Amino acid sequence: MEFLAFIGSAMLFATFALTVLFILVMVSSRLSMLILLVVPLLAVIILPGTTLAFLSYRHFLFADGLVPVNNFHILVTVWSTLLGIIIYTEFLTWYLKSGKKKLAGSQKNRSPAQIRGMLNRSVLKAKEILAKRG
Amino acid sequence: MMMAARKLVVLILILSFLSSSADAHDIHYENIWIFKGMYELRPGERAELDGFTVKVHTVDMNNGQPSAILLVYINKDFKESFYVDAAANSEQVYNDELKIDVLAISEGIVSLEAYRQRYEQVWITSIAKTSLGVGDIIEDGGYTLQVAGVTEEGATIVAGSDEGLTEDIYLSGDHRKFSEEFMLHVIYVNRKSREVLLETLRPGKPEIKTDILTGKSTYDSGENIEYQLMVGNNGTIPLHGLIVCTSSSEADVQEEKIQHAGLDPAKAKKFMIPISAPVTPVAGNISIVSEVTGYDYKGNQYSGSVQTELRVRPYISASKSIEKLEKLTMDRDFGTDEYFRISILLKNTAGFPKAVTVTDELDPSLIPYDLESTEWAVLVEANSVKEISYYAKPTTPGNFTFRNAVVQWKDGGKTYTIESGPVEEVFQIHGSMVTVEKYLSPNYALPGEEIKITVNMVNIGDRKVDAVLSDEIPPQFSLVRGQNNWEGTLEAGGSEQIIYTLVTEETGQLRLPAATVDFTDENEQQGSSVSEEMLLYVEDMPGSSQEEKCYEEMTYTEDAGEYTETGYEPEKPDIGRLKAAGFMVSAFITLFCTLAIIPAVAYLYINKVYE
Repeated sequence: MEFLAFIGSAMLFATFALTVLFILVMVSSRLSMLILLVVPLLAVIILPGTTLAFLSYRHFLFADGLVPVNNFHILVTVWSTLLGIIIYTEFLTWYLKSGKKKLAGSQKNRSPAQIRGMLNRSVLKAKEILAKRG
Repeated sequence: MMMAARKLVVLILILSFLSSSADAHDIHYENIWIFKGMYELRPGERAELDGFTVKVHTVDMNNGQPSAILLVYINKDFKESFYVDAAANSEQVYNDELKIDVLAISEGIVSLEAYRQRYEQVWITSIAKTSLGVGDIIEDGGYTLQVAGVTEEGATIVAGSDEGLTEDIYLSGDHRKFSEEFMLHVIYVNRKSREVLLETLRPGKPEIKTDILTGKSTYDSGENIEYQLMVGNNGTIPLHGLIVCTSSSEADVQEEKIQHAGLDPAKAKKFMIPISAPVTPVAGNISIVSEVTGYDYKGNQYSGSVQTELRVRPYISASKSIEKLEKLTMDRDFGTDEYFRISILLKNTAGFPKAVTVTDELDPSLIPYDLESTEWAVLVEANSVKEISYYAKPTTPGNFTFRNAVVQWKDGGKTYTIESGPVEEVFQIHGSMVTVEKYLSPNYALPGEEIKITVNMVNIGDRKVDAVLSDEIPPQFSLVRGQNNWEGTLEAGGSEQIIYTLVTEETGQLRLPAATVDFTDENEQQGSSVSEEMLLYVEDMPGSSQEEKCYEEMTYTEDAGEYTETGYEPEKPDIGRLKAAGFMVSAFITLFCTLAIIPAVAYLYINKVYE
């Protein structure tokens, strides 16, 4: 019974995580972050008994019963993982955009035409690869 | 008349025939010097030898040849003095009765051997009476005896050995000693039938047999051990100069060496050897070894040894005894009729006082009377007994067993522990007692949901009781079905279960008071028992039946015995939706902020660099 409960919880969390990731990739990272928060929040507000019972269900007891693992702990783990992915995706996107612009701006007068050509070719090549994968 | 005379003659002949063998008894004995032992004596010391006393008067070590003056006493009367040395004057004989052979005189000590002249049995029949005809041969001990012929002069017997052949004529009763190892005795020579009745004799030997009697196998520390050594002579000739040496690695042997003059065949001597058991803090085995040495008339040594192991208890010992006493009619608390008097007897067999800690663990159903704990620190004086006595009251009727009392003390920096002997008796306490237990199902409910209350009453006493159950229903609950009160009779060992159903519209943590049973037994003794107070958690939102099922399945079980599990998170059901939502939002924000620290720092740093 406990094993079945764990499988059910794991499937629910996996569905939730995949949904968030899908929205992150296909729609928007901000929307995925919002969904990450809002879905459990709405569940608590609409079905507090069920949601709390689900979140407080204990799957394991580690370290001789000292460390309980409830569904809430799994939710927090999923949150932190997905939040990390979203935040770093946003940050890296910004960095790549702004860094490229600034780098291009600062080296405009000094870079020889050959180097610019090489960079442009590299960017185009990367875009092609990304377009093929996408 | 003639007939009577003929009978008399026949009788005389028979007696004479028998007496010829009786005469042979004498040939078993010889007048020889009997070895009485070896002694090492200083000036003033003496050796006791069957009525004779040999005393060393002076020792002169100044001359080239050390010498000494020995004094001989008979029954403590001085008889003669001898000048001895280890050379020409080494052997001295007093009155053909006592021979002293000085072996050495060194460092003021005279080493001597003593011999007594005595008519003593030496020879033992080897081949009993045997009838031999002419030409018959018998062999014994390397000797061959052949009857060569029987004439009027006597029987001619040829004796052969490694040394050659010897031929002699023997008459009835003659005997001949061929060596110190062999003797022939011709008992009767029948000239008519030309037969010879003879026997052979050889020197006998003593044989030491030892046996130990110790009375008991286990002794207290320091106790005197009843050590008796039985030394017997299972041989055929007497044993002389017995020396009994007793030793033990742990025990204190007070008389390590005992001397005894001699022991005849088939005789035994009991030696009482005083031995004290060691004083030890731990139980252990001690080994006592006795070695017995003796000599035959030639001075050949014979020995035997025997060993025994004894158990020695620690010097602190404890015993526990239980006495069941009747309570006074006025003082029958806890519904029980009897109580216990527990005595712990501490014994210190050591020669010094010892401080010990005594712990007596009681059954949880027993309450010591007028005591905070059943642990005592006491001083037990040397070689004394101390008693600890206390009373314990049983809180329920039933059977009681007692554990061993534990005594701890320190000796030489180490801690030692012993336990009292086990109390194997099972004590039955009579009385009247009804236990009551109350259960809820479920412990977590929704408003309007039915709550089943189960009250179990069990008469654990040994008398029939009239019981009254009163279980109050708080005002926020209403009774749906069943009865919350009960009155009836419970047989000894009998039980009763009351079930009723409640419902409430209140929410939150609700208390259900304890159920109380008042009972009166056949002897008009009254008592009461109370169950535990119960808590019920009622959710603040009406839920569907699906929700309820899910909650019960995942969080709580129907069995109230597992209620204690809720102790992990007792406040969980108090969290409302807003609180829960707030908590989740705060957790999310905390996680976000934590994860965003590094990207934020990196963002600020990069912006600064490019500026």
